[in-house]
Parts: sequence; C-alpha cells; structure tokens
Amino acid sequence: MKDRSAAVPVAVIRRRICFSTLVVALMFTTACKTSEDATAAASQMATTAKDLTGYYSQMDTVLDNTIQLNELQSVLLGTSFDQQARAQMKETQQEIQKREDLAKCLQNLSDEFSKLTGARTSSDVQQAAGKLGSAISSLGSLPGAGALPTGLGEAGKEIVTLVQEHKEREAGKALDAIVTALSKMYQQETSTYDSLYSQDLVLAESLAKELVKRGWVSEGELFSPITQPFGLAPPASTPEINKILKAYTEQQIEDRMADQVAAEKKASDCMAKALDEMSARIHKLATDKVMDERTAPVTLSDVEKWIETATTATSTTAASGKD
Amino acid sequence: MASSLQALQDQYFYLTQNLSDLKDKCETKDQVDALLAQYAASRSNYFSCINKTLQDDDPDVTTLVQQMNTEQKSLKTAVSQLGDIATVINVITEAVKVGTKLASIL
Repeated sequence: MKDRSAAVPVAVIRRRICFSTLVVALMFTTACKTSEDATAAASQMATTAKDLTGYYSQMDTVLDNTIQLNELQSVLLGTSFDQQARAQMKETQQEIQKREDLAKCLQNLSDEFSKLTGARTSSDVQQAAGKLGSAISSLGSLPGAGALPTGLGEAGKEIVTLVQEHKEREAGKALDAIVTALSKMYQQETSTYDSLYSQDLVLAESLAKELVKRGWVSEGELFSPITQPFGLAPPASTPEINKILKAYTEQQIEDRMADQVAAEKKASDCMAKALDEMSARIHKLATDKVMDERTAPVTLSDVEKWIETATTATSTTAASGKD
Repeated sequence: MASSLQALQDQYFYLTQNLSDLKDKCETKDQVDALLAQYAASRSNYFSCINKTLQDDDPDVTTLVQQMNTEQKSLKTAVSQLGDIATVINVITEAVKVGTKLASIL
C-alpha cells in the first residue's frame, strides 16, 4: 500500500485556506498587544507569497518553452510529438498553474492582512475588511479550484463580520496550519520542480548541439572578447570556423546549462527555506510568542535574483522568436 | 528526489542527449522508427511520473527502480560501444519497457 499520509495536495491546502481565512483574526488579536509583530508578519508573508508566485510563474513559462522545444525537436530529428504528448505536458503546466494561483491567493490575503492590522480607526477597519472580502470573492476564476472560490467568498464575508465583532483570537492557528502545509508541500515537490527545469535545459542543450553539428550556428559572437575592445566586428561563420570552434562551442553550451541548473536549484532551495522560516514566524504569532523579525526571510533575495534573470532570459527568447 | 522519478529522468535525459547520434547510426527506416518510438515512450513515462504524486515506498516500485538502474547501466554500455545499432535498440527497448512498467504503477 502506498502511504500518502505525508503528502499535502494543493486541494488540501486550498481547503485549509478556505476554512481559515478567519486568519485575519490573528492580526486583530495581536493588534491589541503586538500589532507591530502582526503587521510585520503579514507583510513578510505577502513578500514570500509574491516570490513564490514569481517562482511558479517562471516554471509555467518553462513548460511553454518545453512544448516549443519538442516541436522543434520533431522538425529537426523527426521525433513524434502528438496531441497526447502535448496534453501530458499541458497537464503538468496546469498543475504548476494551480500552485501559482494558490500562491497568488495567499499573497492577496497577506496584503490585505497587513492593511487591516495597520488600520487605526473603525472606518479604516471596515474599509480594509471590505476590501479583503472583495479580494477573496474575486478569486472565483481560479482554474480547477473546485470548492475554493465559493468557500473563500463565504469566508470573506465572515471576515468582515468577525472584524466587526472582534471575534478573532482563535484564527491564528489556522494561518499557522496553512503556511506549514504550504511549506511542507513545497519541500516535498522541490525535486520535481528542479527536474522540470532541468528537462527543459537538457532538451535545449541537445538541440543546440544538433545545430552546432550541422554548422547552423553563427559562432562569431564567441570571438567578442577579442573583437569588442577594439570595435571590430566578429567574423561571419565559415565551415573552417565551425570546425575549429565546435568543441569550444559545445563546452560553452554545457557550461551555461550547468550554471542555469545550479541557479534554479539554489532558488528552489532558498524558496523552501523562506517558506520554512515564515512558517516558524507565523507559528510564534499563533502561539502568542514574540515575533521580532522585521524583514522578509533573507533567502528570498536569491529567489528574486533568479526570477529576474530567468524573466530576462525568457523575454529575450520571446522577443527573438518574434523577429 | 523520489527514486522512481530519478530513474525515469536518468533514462529520458540520457536518450535525449544521445538521440541524434543514435539516429545517425540507424541503418534502416525500421530501426529509426523503433528508436523514435522508444524515445517517445521514455518521454511519456517521465511526464507521467511527474504528473503523479510521487510515493515510491511501495516494494514493487523499489524493485522496479533497482531494475531501472541496472537497465540504465546496460544502456550506457551499449551506447558507448555503439557497435551494432540493432542490439542498442533492443537494449533501449528493454530499458524503456521497465520504465513504462514503473510509470504505470506509480
């Protein structure tokens, strides 16, 4: 028998979010005594969730790229890439998109939490709570979210009532459960994300080498360290240059691939650490302990750096694809 | 990494990296067709595994993962020698068959 007890599927986390959007309460509970801790935690959670959304968004783009690469492989090497194979990759992409939506949902909630905790007057609270209710209700377009949108919509209304009635204390534990579950799910799936990123690069690498093998690549740019300082134009590719530079070009491809795989691996490890850190901080709040950290988890900077680099790379690819 | 995904990944990545050279060695259209069919099956096994929740503590899975690792070694040896492409395709076919079995029980 397979033991699936340790697995934390997206649907379970969604249900937890659904049941525990009461979580706002945490912020109000603590607003009485440690409102600064609560505001800081909400803001840090929003930043963490934003980076998690960015990470999944990049993975989503990677899968678009994988489909294109398989199409190109089919043209270059005659491999079959039928509807079934495409559907399989689309299924993977949809799973990633579900996680992206989940992260975005958490980001929106955390954003509104931080505004709620910052509210000073009753009208501020009313307004912020109303906005949170709308934000949650607007999540109705989540693909494949099942019961989540309805449940969240109801929870959104409930939050407004809870805020008005100041019945918030018990909700802290619910947020604690959500973040813990999310962190656990991410850790369980990190190697799968790494594998998905690598498969795209392995395929790209093999096709790049195929182009080199056929002499279809212009290697002139590789001479730029020699030509650029003197304003010289790189040489046009010739069969001779192609032959001489073949091994060097292949090594360049392998090195760059290794760098990119390592950068993603570092980003996914750092994301896992950041989620774990946020989980610990939220747990402190939920158990009435002092949460004195005032900045987002430091490991997020590596995630942000990777997202920025990967976004630039994919934008360049998209732009060159349009030319 | 779950060992089942690792095993299927190793096979799929290895075939991806060597597909062009293997194809060049094929002497007949049947051999090319057989090679490309096994490649497509290996890719499908990999994505099938990705798409399932990975729980490989099942004893059947463990046995198949061990078998996959053995097949992977044979595959690497056969490809590195690349003497008789028909033999290589047979080794690939056997290795992908184990992968298909593994992907189907996950």
